[in-house]
Amino acid sequence: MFLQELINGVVVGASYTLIALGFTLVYGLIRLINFAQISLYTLGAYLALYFTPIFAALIPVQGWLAFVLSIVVSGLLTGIAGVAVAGIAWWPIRRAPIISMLVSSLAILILIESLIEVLISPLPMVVKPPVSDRNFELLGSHISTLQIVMLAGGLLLTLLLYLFIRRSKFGRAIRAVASNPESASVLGVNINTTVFAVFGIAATLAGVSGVLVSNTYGVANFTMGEIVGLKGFTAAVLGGMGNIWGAVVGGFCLGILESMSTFLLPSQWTAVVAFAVLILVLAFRPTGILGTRLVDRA
Amino acid sequence: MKRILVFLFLAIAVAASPLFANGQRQKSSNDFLLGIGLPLTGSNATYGVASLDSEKLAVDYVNSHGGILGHQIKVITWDTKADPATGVAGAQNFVSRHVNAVVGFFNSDVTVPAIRVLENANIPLFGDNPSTPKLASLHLKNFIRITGDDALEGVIQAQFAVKKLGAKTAVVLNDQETFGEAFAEAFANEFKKEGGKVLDYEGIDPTANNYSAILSKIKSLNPDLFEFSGFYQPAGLLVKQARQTGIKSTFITDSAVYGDKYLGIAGKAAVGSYMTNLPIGSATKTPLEQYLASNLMSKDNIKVDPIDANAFDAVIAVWHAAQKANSIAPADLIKVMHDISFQGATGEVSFLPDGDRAQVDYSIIEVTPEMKYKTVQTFKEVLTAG
Repeated sequence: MFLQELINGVVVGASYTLIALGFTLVYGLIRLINFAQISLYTLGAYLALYFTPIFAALIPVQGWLAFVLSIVVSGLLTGIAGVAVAGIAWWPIRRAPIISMLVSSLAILILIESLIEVLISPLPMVVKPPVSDRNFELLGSHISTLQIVMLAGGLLLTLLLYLFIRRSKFGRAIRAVASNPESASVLGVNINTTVFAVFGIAATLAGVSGVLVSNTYGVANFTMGEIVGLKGFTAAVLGGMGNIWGAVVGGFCLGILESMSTFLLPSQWTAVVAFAVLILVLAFRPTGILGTRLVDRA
Repeated sequence: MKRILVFLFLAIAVAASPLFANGQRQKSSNDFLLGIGLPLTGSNATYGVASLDSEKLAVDYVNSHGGILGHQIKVITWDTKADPATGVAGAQNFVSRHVNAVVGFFNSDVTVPAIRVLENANIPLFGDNPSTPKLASLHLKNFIRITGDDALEGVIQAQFAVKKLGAKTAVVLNDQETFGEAFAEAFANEFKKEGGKVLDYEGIDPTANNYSAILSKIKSLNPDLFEFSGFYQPAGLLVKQARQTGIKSTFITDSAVYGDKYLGIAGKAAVGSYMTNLPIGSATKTPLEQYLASNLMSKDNIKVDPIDANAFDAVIAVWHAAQKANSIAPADLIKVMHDISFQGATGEVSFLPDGDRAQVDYSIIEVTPEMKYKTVQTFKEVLTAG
């Protein structure tokens, strides 16, 4: 059963990681905890609810292709929504105290959730992936196709993000702004463009995560981001806010920790264990497990 | 400018909230004001919206039959969001608007605190679906409910599990809310009393979408059945993921899970699952059930389920109480509300002094391979089986 718990924990951890990466990227750049990230996760899931049937109808035989297209399009559109969030929550008040931005990102979280609730439905939506979800047995443990997709998607996006930040010119600009905005600006980096882009990337990660989770478990509702968002935020803090590998370590550690504690203790204790560990880690390492420096440590 | 923007966004977010979407209606002196508190948004909105539809049908029925002692019913709705604090605010709103009676609040954990507000203001509450045993144990003078008591439903379910399914071991889960906890406790106690063994008893997070960790535990315990008390979303996800995990144990759940949403979320995994239910939709329909059924079918193309019928009868009970009291004053309704009896959409309706129904005919239903609900046993059959 240990292996099953590990599988469960790692799959859940992948979704936490994608959210945590979004939190950490924006925080690393402008020290803002962007709560709107949580609603973009939900938005991604709802966009896929509309795009998946369209792609599935256009390319009926290729369920996987339709699914991937739906993930990509929903992710990109969520990314654009993320840029719009930056335009509302950050740009007009970028010289204001962080607390103002925090409030405005919270307002956007409520706004997007309420809009989904009012315009689409307050009820849970049944999500039907265009691919058949088979079960694989692995040494007596089970993992489904969609769980594998979720895990692979999480790892792939993390790797792509790492390569982008580490190897691309734009990635270098992001690192430069994160470590010293003034110097970066002197060196010709456009800080505003960089911040907008990072909001977009963070939103894409959240959106893709929303699509994967809603398809894996077969349900979406307008508050679905709240729990996962809180966990993703916790994962980012646990790993070290502002550190990309911290988000990865935090995400998977939290997922596995929750899974193991649910198995060993009554499930009411899951949150107690997870947050007790968070407090313990922060007591000994106030910057989180890997949180020594910011995005430039990626 | 910055502050104005922040304020503007907060204002839009608040204004977009359906809490503020309730119509403000003026009472004309001749109206009977009926407060209806239900979860019209949020995770329980399916039930709240369906309940409101049925309650409005009942209001139309009463109004078209001359109203309550000649007074037309005017409805004031309040969205509780299934949140106790919002429910209490709703009860206070009803008090300040001098309603004659209140119907609601669907959720047990909303009803328990909200009814205190109504009790202090001497306003009767005609409960539609709040089913926790706690409400009956309070012996409130201003309370009756159409739905049955969870304690009884849990007992019926446990007896069916032991006597008919032959279950010896069970894992009992609940959604950690008032309704689910009370139900699960009643089930577990009766299951043990009947000689069964509860291998694990846990509360789960009803807002989660991944139950893999708890299901791993169930798989390793390999019980004869696993029971869940709560609502359709976690129930549907639990049984779906259980079958994916390779759990073969029988799944049994409660009447609040009943409906198409459960089948939609669980898919084929729902086949063979059992739940308790009220005997609605049987061949012998009462006139009011026929009225409700034909109106729901023509309006929304849906069949009557117990939650609809309970909601409908709660309004009909208000009508009967006023007729018995020959008054529409809230205090007069309270004096007679426990003594009314009528044939409603849920069958014969009469009440005990604690506000519970004198008789509720539960049945056990099963999901067939064709994804339909089928009654497999009635209340009396469960009790007399051995």
